Amino acid sequence: MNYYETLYIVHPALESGRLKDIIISIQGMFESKDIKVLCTDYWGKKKLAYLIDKQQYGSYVLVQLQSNGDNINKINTELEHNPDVLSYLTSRIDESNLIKDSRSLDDQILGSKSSESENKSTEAAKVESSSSDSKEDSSDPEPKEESSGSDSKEEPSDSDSSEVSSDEEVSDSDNDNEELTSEDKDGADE
Amino acid sequence: MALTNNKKICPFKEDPKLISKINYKDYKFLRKFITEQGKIIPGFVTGVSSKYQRMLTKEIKKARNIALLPYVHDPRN
Repeated sequence: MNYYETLYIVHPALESGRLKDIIISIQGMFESKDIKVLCTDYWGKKKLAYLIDKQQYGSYVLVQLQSNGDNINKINTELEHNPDVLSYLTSRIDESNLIKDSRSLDDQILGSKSSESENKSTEAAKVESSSSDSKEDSSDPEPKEESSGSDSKEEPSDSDSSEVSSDEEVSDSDNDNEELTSEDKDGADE
Repeated sequence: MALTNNKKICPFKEDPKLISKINYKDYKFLRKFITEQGKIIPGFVTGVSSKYQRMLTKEIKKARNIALLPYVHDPRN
């Protein structure tokens, strides 16, 4: 038996409830073709490097599979004809690359925002510790954490939580660039 | 002709832990090996040995396929 993994991009317009339905239906499609699904990893909504079907964003889902390799081509054609899947990539992996600890889908879809904000805060802390930045740079990440924390508290009441997450990610990716540019500017000023 | 002795050392031979990072899922690491335009930087510029340059090229092309890395720089972004 060989190990495979498929990374596919789900249409960004789908909300968390329908996203889960689609992920489960694709899992069912795998299992109907005698392919064992080992784990599912939801990466969250990300900005695409280029437009696909005029979409700027997409929800990335990684699935690791175990199969003898007969039906792998068939799942590719299924994904190709699925209108909710923007793009997909199937590749063969070693046993050592399998993800061991997997969370449930609900946790990943609903908790992805809070975990992302935690990761970003830890990354920001690492950046602060590694580089001797000025006080202006270090003061920037703190308000972000506060705002993200308040958002995560409000999430259960909000129906448009997916939109909030996309905005957060955009702002964070932009902030990374801004930090770099601000450092450059500081260097230029000195 | 005097031979210059400023030979570059392959980063993956210096630190073998980096080899596991050559993966299309780790696209932030792969970004070090492409230009702003999105072109793959040749091994003789970065000093990567040909064995790891082949692995890098494959993984960068996979990451481009799934829109994690750009084929070309998009001026709108």
